Amino acid sequence: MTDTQFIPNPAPRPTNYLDEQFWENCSKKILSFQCCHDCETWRHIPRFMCAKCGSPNWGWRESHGRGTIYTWTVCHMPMSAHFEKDFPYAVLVVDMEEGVRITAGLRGMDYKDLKIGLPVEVVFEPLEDGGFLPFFRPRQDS
Amino acid sequence: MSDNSLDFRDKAAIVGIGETDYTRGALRPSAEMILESTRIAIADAGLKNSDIDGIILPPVMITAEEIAANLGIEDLRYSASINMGGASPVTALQTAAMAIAAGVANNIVVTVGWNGSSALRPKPNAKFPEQISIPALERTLQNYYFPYGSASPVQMYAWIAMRHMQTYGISHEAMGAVALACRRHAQFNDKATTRGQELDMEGYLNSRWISEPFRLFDCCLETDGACTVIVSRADQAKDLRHKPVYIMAAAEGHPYPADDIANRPDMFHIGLANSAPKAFAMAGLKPTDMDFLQIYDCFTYVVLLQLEALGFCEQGAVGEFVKDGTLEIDGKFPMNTHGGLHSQAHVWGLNHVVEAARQLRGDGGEMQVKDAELGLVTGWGDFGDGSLVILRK
Repeated sequence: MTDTQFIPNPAPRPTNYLDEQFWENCSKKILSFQCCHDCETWRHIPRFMCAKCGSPNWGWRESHGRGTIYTWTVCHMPMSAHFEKDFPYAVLVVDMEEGVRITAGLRGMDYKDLKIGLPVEVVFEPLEDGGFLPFFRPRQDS
Repeated sequence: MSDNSLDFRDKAAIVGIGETDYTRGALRPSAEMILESTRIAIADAGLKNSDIDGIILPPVMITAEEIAANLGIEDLRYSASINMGGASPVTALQTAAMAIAAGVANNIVVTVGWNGSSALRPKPNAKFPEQISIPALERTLQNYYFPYGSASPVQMYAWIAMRHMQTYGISHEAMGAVALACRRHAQFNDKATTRGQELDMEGYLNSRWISEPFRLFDCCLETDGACTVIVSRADQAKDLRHKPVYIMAAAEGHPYPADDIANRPDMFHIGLANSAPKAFAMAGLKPTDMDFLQIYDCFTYVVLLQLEALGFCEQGAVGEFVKDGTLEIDGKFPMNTHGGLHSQAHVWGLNHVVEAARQLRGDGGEMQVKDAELGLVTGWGDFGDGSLVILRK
């Protein structure tokens, strides 16, 4: 599919400071999510307000980096040349212990063994042009 | 319905329909195709260009003002853009019916068209490449989906489908039932791109993976073409060329949060789960009253999710529901009698509305549903927005 280049570059492209800070933390190998100062509700993707209590007050908190597989897909048609080396590859939705979900790639296991509820943990991989992306692998302590 | 709701039941009707040829490789601007289908629809209604006073469309390829300038509409009284991806055309019918019931406009063009096959993505031969901007989703896509190679709806809807499949043990044959019904019906449709390409369950199951659990034949077509319907005041519709097709009820629905699939508390609570009860209540009908269904079918599993959200069966029971040809022309609920996006063409599901109007006019040809009086059309788009319209003879 060389004529189908949806993603010229897999690096995230922040469009506001919330996304920028999330990815800055990742570049320090810290997986963080926003947490509401007033009601302590975690949230992801980043937002300006707490959907639960309406508060605009929040801060970043480091995640334990642990979760379970919520769902996934296995892509057999890479969407850009960058992903051809990993082909076929899984894209996960992970249910984090903090109560948010995150989309990420899979590392350290065969996608054929994926199942809902499988314990996973975060592992960071460098991006070609700097920064790090969080991926998930099977929990080493489980 | 709450007391302050605008009652638009039966206040508006579809009076004209128009389609271009559906091709893969049109090499004509989308705008030109949109204007062609609009001319056909206005003529089909027996109206003049100057009768049109409203235009509703998704925010792509052409603006309402450009259409008005081409048609010579000097006093455009109402225009709107619907930002619900593939659900936009059906939502546009709700918007049109509301505008008409409120007395804002009398004859409204609802249209969509694109070079979905030949120019949408950067293709080497496209002299004028076309882009679709999805402002509502762009931030999520660019930051949280694209970096992992999840860039196409086939991958994102696969998350919902995979979890549903794993949770309820839905079979690939259930997905195949959707594909086979669409393909069978397309064999009788003049405009169907897959006419002459029959499909059986073995062929379906042997097709290659695209993004699990979706195979090639779970995916719809890519099409160049355009489609238009004219929505007019019901009290004036009776005097026009064709028997009016009345908009009994319509509603739009959004999942929560709509801009991120991953963080929905219940991933199976799609937009249609919010909109369907409202529309059925407005019409005073239930799902099983429908004589036929035109269900937005960008991917087979999206149809299964919608059938559950509409209330045709309990959540998780759709595999049983679609068995034994339920969705085929001789089944209990004939679906996508034109072939759908899967096997006729991908024109954002406005082609589903055109087919519903044909059925209710009695012009369904070999795929005419016997004694069809009530029909349902759904739209699905963005990350699972869902709208529906209930139409009657």
